[in-house]
Amino acid sequence: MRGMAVYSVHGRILHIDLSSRKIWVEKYGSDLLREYIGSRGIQARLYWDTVKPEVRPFSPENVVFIGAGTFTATPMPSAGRTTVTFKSPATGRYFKASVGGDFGIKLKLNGYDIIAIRGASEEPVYIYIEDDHVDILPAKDLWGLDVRTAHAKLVRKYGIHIDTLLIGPAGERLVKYASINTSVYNVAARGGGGAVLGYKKLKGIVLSKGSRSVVLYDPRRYLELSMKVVKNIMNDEALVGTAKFGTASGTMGLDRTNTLPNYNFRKPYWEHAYKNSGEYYVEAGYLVGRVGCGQCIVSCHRHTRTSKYGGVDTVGPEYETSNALGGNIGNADTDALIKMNDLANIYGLDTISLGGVIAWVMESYEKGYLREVKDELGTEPVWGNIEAAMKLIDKIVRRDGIGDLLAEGLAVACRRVDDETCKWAVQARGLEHSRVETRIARAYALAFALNPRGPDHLHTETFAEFGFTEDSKKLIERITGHREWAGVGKNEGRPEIVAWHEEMYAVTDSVGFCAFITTAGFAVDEFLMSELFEAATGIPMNAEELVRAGERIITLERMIQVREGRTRKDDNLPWRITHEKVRTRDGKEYVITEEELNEMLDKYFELRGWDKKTGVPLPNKLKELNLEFTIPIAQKVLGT
Amino acid sequence: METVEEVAKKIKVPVKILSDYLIKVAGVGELAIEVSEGEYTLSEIIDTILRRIPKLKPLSESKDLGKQPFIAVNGEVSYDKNHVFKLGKSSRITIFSVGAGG
Repeated sequence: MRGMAVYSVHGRILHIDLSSRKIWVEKYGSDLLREYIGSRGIQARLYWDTVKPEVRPFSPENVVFIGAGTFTATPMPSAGRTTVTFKSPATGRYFKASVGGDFGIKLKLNGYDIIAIRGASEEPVYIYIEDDHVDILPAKDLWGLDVRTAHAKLVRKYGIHIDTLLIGPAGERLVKYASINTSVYNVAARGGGGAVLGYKKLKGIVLSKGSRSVVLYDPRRYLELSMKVVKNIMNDEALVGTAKFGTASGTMGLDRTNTLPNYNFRKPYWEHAYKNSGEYYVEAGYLVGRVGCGQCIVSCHRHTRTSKYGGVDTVGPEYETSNALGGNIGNADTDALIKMNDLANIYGLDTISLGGVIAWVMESYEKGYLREVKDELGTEPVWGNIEAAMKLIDKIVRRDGIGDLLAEGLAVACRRVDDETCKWAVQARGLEHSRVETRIARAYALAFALNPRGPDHLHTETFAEFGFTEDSKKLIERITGHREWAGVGKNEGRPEIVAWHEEMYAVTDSVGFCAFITTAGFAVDEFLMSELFEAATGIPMNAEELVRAGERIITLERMIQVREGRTRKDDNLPWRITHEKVRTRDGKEYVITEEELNEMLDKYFELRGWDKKTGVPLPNKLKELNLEFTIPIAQKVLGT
Repeated sequence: METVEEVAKKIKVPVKILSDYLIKVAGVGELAIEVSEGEYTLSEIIDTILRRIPKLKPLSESKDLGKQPFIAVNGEVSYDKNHVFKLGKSSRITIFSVGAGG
């Protein structure tokens, strides 16, 4: 145990070894909380200490950490997020994914901040937790069930007050982009965490309602600040729109700015984009109601319904899904989009990777590859063919025929088919690219090249770059000193914009806040967040120190990956993004050249105090951030 | 012998403003525009709407994307003012502003 007593968290990590069936609790103190703020930061440190670089993703030694934020299970709006940390089977490296729902809240109500899943079971199991009572139970009757059915079965057994974290059939069959779902429809989607649990034969975790609560250091002050957050959320123009139209309210802004990637990143706008938008879901009557994560007053999730495709009553689609399974595959059929989103939800699949894979099949077929897939599907896998897309989803989940290849993800699949097809396999470092056109949105481009996850938005959502709102323009001006640098197609100030967002995002995840209120909407800035942290934990923390903690987390995550073999050569983008021009609606052409990317990377490394040649944090920077324990690795790579 | 002129049928097209911000500026959330059934450019449709909701005019001329109203006609959005839409009995128009989802 390091440091003094803790507030706002329990200071308790629940370790569960599925191989030995041993269960124990490890305590931690305020030192760890001060340095790493909460879930994501602390789990990065635990990962460094536990998961050595030689550990394979599919091995008992891979540890899955599931942790609730420091503000989770306290009276704080939009602070119910949970972070899942593991070595990814898609990227082969450190990975973390954030998820909403109620799981993190119930985890803390049961008396734990973090669960560490070690080892692997020989038979399917699930874990039941009721305060100090923790059981590893057989899951033979749950194995093979989709997430919704498995959840319903567990609710029938334990009652309505439970919450679940579950994998679907995709995770059980080790699909490399299988998700982990909490409260059924909240998804830690990326990186294949579901497959890691599938390897461990762990169907899921059931949390009882719990009887513990966390103690706040200064509850009166915390409540005052909490009311300020509520007020800020209610007055934030971006968040008001997100509440009303969901995350897919982003579709038309991206379409208008030519940053909406359609047809596998060949067209940055689309005539039918509106059919993939949150506004259309409202207008056309698909929206049944809004759904919120625990503690959230924004409620950006959508309860949707369609009578077509056998009838669907589900949650979603979010923005990323709306584009990945919409314009990305030429799909303007909103009913089909809702159906495919639901299939991905219940099978436990990451929709971004899924859409990337389907689009690659369609483009490959168009270019004369994978011609045999037509016979296998009984229909041609051409743009907009919904029947083909749905059959591919089914085959991927069952690893049947072409589905077995596609379940490996783009990086593997394209090499097995033909290296030429890797040019339109829009992935980097093993992860399929998120749904924004990075040839035009340049802060996203730099952020995606650096992201330890891969080319993905949920590490550095630099949404302010678009300058859609007055608040976002003000933020760009505050970060760079230049209001005019808000807007797409610009390289200026991008290293500074990315660095600020990375740090803010790291502390946002760690306290359990949703990034929508800190980096997409702007209800909480670093000044307010540091006041909240101090009132919650009693640990003195000003805004500068909080941001420094964010930098510590970012730098530790970089060092973890350096230890796993990452160098500057990995700070890249998909081939298509750096080699093929994309044409906007008004005929302008964009590509992000390797020279442009390198120039931004140089500036970023200089800003960070990292070595420009290798991208490795320099020893003096590591010392400054209290990361001395990583210095030997840095010195080894730097040759100093 | 009398000359019979063929007169296009008059229809009422419902217009719904979705965004709270635009409703506040416009001072109205729902209305209907009366037009003859037929084909119209986006520019003509916008002019007709602005005649009914003049308070939206400054926003429609704004260079600021965050303020510009987006207009969906029959479930399709175009930014080309010369784009032609058919307005008929089942037509609908929706107005909204850019969102911040992601």
